[in-house]
Amino acid sequence: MAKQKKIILSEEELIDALRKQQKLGIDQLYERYSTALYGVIFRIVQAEEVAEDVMQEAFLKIWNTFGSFDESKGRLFTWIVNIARNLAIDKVRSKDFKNSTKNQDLENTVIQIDTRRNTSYNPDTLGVKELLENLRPEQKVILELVYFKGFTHVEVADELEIPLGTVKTRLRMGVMALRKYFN
Amino acid sequence: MDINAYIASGNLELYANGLLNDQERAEVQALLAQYPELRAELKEIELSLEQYAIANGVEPPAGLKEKIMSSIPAATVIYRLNPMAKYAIAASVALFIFMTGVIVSLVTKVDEKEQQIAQLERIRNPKAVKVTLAGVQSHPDADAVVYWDMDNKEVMIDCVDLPKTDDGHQYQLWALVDGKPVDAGVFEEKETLQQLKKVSQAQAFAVTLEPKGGSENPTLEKMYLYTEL
Repeated sequence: MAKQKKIILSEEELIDALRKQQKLGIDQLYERYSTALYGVIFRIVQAEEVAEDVMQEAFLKIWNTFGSFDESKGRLFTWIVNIARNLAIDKVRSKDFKNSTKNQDLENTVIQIDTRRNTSYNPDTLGVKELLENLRPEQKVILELVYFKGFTHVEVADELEIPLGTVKTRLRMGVMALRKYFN
Repeated sequence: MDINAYIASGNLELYANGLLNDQERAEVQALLAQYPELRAELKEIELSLEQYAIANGVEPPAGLKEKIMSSIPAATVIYRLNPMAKYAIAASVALFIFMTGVIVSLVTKVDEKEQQIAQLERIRNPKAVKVTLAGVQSHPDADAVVYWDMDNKEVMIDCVDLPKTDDGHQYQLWALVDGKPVDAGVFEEKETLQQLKKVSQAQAFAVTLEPKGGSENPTLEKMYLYTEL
């Protein structure tokens, strides 16, 4: 039931369009990455209205600061997801937000993937359950805390009461498992 | 540097997740610029994180795209000014200003020349007496020429070789009449002829250096030129 994505530009063309401040660039950025970005944002802020606001802020920031994007320093997606994630974290840490949401304890923060929502609305899904089974639990926790909750590796070490070096190793192991899985 | 050890350290994963501080990030970027193997490794890391994010994506509510597209300011400049054009425009403005300056100075010069020609025309008059003034002992190299039109008594002076005066001083021409000096006008060291006062008669001409505006009587110690007719 998901909308058909209309991807017209290649990633290179997309970057070029954004550099030239052509609105088609934002259109295509949305078509390509809105689902991925929204997933990251939503998992952090946990509220649809807030997630929409952050999404808007993120796209505006991407548009306005695109001049500082440098391909030699990393891929486009990495750049935009970090912008989105940081805005979401800022939102969560802001005073207004803190007053309106209840604190989540650690068990809840480990993502309860809404598989129904995913499989119904995301045709690109590669079987999330299957994906998660490929990750060792300790790697999964760290990936999700870092990637989908915006924890820093230092905060993860504190939260899980494990050494920083262990966090780094598990993160790397988790990413390598992903690589194996996707390749 | 041991590339494999660096890769195994997991720093690139931290970098890809935006977890490094400014200094750490700059260090990684410096290494990335240097080692293609690190760039390749980073690319793999980024690609799999991208897939991971897409796999865990959540469809945004319908209508959000519209909201976002309308909040992006419309591209007001359709034709982007080619960066080179900015330089070209600046250069042509600078050239215009420069040429204006050149034209003004040329016109001024033409004016001056026309004045000089007019003056020269006057002294071509056969009735004009040319008096070469000689430098005195203290200023042997000083030189000037007086043109005295015997018809209308007008006097013009041509400073051939006189030191330049400062702001507080001017030269003064004196016509000696019956032993008494008569003021014939003040002038400065200039390349063009300068018109001075009319002189009805003179037995000699003298030039002294005076305070600006001239003096009632010549400062004899500051005499530069003297010639008897």
